[in-house]
Amino acid sequence: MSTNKKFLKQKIKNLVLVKSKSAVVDEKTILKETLEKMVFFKIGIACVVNKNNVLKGVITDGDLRRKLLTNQKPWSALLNDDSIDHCKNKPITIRDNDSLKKSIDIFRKKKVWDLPVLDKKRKLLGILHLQNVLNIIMKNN
Amino acid sequence: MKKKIIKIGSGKIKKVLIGNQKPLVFIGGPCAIESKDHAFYVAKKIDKICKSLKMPWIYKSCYDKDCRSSLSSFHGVGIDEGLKILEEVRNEFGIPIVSDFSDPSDADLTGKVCDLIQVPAYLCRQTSILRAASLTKKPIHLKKGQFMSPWNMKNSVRKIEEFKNKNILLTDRGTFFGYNMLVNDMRNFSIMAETGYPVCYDATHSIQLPTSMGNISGGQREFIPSLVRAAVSCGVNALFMEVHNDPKNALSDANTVLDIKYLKFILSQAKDLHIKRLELQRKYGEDNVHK
Repeated sequence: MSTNKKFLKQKIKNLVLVKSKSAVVDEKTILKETLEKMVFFKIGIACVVNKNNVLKGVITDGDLRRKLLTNQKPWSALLNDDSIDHCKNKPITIRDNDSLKKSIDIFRKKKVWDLPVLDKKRKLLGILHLQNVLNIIMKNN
Repeated sequence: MKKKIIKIGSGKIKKVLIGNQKPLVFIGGPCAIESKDHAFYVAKKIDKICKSLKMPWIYKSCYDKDCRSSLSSFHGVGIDEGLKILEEVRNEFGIPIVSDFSDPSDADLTGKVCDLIQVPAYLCRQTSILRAASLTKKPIHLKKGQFMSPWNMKNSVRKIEEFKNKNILLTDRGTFFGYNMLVNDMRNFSIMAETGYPVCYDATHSIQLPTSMGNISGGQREFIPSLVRAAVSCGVNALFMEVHNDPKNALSDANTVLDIKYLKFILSQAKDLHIKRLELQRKYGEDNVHK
């Protein structure tokens, strides 16, 4: 097997951007604090989890752009809303034991930049960022 | 959001349930405790009216009026005498009692007598007050500050929940509209109800014109009946009004307290509207117009 094929088979769990370096918030975190976390980590996605760390949804830069165009509430009210009220409930995710190749397929087909990485109980392990994957590809070529 | 029902009262007194499809509850009494005789006189009058309407009610009066505009205004009978009178009213009429406090060190004693602990509107975001109220373990009557947006009240609710108290009644008592003027935004009830807790309308403070008369507040009582009808139609679970047998000579809020002679007239309409609203809700379902 060539080196290229080997690295494509490696498991996602070894590549994940850990939770401490991602924007992860609980359901009752207000939208303003979620945005602050996204800004702090310079990342276009926030993961909303329940108290058991199960992923309940995500908020992305795209969601926020659409919100900008449709929101009718005063901004102060929107920023005080719970994040869970504004997140995408069925986000595109990837399992920790999936391969790097599978993640590349998802990034290409779904045109997303970030993938929440889950274990078999849907608990959030972290984020797989497209940039990480590109770095790995460049290193192996 | 699941709608919560809070239970007020314990021991031998009547338990009052507030929330969801429960009957409309009246909360009222003189703004300030003036004397034992006066407290009993007003309590007896209200009790008679509420019994005739089969309306659950909670007696409200304060021992310390710490937010008066002027130092020369009546400040209250004090905590010891005030709580003694409230306890006697509670025992005599078998009804729950609500009163407020403005200093966290008064919370414990207040909580030992009162069934519902009121957080004054001006202090609705003070963490020390919210913590002290929560620690009494009694349900909390949280008034929206006149300077607060209804959605920001969630922050105060979250503080109380963090202090392990999950029995809250949220009240709108008007919102500042420029200087010396309050208005009611009827959207406030729906917005505050999004917390899941029951909501209440304070009619007599909503018509207040804060400090409009130099060093005392004015008020426009003529708007109370129509505003009450509007609030009840919007779905409030409780109605708050301060009442007095002789408003002109009331020791506190003389320009806003409702003459008790009008109480039955207003509560009767409020009760009928509340029943009608629940009927409409059962017939047509919940409001679910898209955002």
